[in-house]
Amino acid sequence: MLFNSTAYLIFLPVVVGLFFALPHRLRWLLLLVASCVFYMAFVPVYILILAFTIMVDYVAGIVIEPARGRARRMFLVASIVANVGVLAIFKYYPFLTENLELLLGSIGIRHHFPDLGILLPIGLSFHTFQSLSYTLEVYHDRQPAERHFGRFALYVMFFPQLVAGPIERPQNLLPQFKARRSFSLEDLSWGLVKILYGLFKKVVVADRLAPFVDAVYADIPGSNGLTILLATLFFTVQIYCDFSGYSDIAIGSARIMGYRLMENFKRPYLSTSIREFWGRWHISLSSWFRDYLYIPLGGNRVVKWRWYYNLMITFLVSGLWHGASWTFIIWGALHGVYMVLGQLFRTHGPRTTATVVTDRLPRSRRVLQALLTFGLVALAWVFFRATSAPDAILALRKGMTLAGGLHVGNGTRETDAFHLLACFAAIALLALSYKLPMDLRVRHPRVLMVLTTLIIILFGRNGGEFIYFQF
Amino acid sequence: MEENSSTSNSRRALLRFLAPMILVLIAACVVLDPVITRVFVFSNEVHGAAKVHRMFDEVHPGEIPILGSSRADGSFVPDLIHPDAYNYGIQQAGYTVTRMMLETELRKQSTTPIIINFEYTFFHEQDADIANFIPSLGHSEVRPCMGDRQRWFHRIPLLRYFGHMDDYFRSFLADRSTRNVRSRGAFFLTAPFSREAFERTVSQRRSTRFGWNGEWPARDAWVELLGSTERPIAVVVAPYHPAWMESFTTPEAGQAYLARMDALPNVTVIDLGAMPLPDSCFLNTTHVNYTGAKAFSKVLAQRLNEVGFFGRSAIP
Repeated sequence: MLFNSTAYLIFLPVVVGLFFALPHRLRWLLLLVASCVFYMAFVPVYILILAFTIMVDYVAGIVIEPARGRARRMFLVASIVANVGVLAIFKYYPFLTENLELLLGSIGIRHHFPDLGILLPIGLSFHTFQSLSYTLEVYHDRQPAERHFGRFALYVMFFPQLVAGPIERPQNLLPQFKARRSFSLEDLSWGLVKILYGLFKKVVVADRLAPFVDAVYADIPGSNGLTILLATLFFTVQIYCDFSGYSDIAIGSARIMGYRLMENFKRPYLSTSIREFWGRWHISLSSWFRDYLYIPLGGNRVVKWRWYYNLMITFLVSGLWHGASWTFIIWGALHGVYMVLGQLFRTHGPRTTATVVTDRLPRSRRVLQALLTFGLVALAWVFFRATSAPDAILALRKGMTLAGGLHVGNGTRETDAFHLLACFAAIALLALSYKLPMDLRVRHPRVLMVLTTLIIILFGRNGGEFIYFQF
Repeated sequence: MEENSSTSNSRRALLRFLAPMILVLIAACVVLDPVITRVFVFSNEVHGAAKVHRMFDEVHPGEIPILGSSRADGSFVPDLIHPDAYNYGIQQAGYTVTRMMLETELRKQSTTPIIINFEYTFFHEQDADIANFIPSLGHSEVRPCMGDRQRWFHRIPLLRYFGHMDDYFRSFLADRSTRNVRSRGAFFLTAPFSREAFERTVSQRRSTRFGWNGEWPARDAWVELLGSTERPIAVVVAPYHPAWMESFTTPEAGQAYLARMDALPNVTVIDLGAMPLPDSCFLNTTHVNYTGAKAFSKVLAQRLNEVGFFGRSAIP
């Protein structure tokens, strides 16, 4: 079920109403059933994959907790293999076999792997990582094993963040399912503001920019430099609004029922360095990779070359997490290179958080650094958006030349001058929304809600799926 | 007891919080909806929604309607055809929409002739934008044009326009722009001809193949509808680019159907599909541009006058 669908407009109030009408002991069951309904609205049969992941990690948690030594490690490895195995089959099989066939072909061996003909289950990487974080936390003795199967299933399946995050940690979510919750007007108010702001980002901004981006990136050879540059700028804003919009709706939906999910975005394009960017963009995923990959690899407490190696590995895997394609791997590698270069060029200063360092910089320098960071991030998005690596390289080559006027489609409505102006107006509206406090705590939330609703009705577009569903 | 009182307090607080907001929203929707409908939707002559509204809710005695799809919209210049002609062409209107418009026109107490642009893909049912029909959903005849795309919120003031304001506002601006040419419902972009862009559309067209839609039962129903009136009807085929005609694999089937319509006593078929026009008269292989539309409309007016079409009328 899509957050930006009329079905969800009915689904959420019904679930919330039932949630507060039911006694505490039955609420987990309601949420679990609601989550199943929510997920099965996409491709019903894929709930079996979720069920498999849940079963494996539920049992893994219980057997890991009392085990010690080698057995404990073996149970963890079994859980990781099962989770990664699901990912490998459903997400990476076509990519792996295609590249393997090419590799074998280059040494004269012709082999054709069978085509499994399976569609990628929606949000697979998200719930797999969420489930995996549970077994890893139990293994590290930071989380007791959950004995209540229903609650554990709900932890993996909680509908607001099931298909596109935020990827939660068991320490944050599981205790919340146990705690009694009563209706709070403050939660409702803040949750509604958050949902409406997320919808605004999705249907007013992201879905407006999408047609232009799609038209240009579908025909890179036929588009000129200026058009590609504009499409890349639009995609940079589109993906932010699309994904952070989803997170906002997820966080808001959970909050209405009193559940607090972690913030996933903190105005990332205001970052003054790539390092800061990753502290503000898809925070739940970057912290996942930090805690379960980067730090176990040794983090920055190793010799310098090894530190850079750790950074590169982390970002390469992050790229691969996003999609089974070389374009995503290159996107991850680019961010890895940015991070390494950032460390190399980092001036000697107080080792404090990026924000504090930034605040001490003169405003003009901060603006310049933010623009540079934005440019680097936008450049990497070219690989993320392009359908193939050669297309991305062609887009970059053309984008550098800035040649030609604005070639906007073949006079189609989605790419004409009116649409372009509407795109800029939507971006301006987004910029204006940055005048609101980042936590969206405003004095008159109801005024904001009414205004946002009217803006959504008047300027929203029927867009469709969220970009991150494909991951 | 305490729990009951707390629940009741929560309900009251919820009501106090939500009720004023919902009332303001409802009021805003109720007030804004007619303003938008009148100012942006119905006040321009370009958008299909305004044309559907005009057809259903306005009376224009003596009007000669021109019905059809975007090919009607962009090919027929009413000013050059007849002083009473009005172009009701709606983007992507196929059989269902054109039939709905014709049936509505035939219900009127009018005896004037009717011009219909017919195309060889007339029975390839396509989905015309629902934005054309939402404001007129009060008419039950319009609803079939929405097909399965009709939703419950299409009846709620203002909310019904969600996702379509762009269309209306774009048409509103186009209608007021001095850069475009308008002529009683018809709308023409006056962008300069681009050889490169045109060649692209030609090569795209040459790579496609399509034919007459074979045994669809609507073919008989359409002929029956045309023959059900005494009003004179001109069935016209507006020009296609030669590349389009080459892609059309079964022209003889289309011609046979045109002959079938021509056999009706009140119907005159004028096939200008292969009218020789230079490339510079085309927007793409399916549509002429303003230059092409003027050339075609002049020829059409001449042909219609030759057969005395405008002098005919149904017996009132």
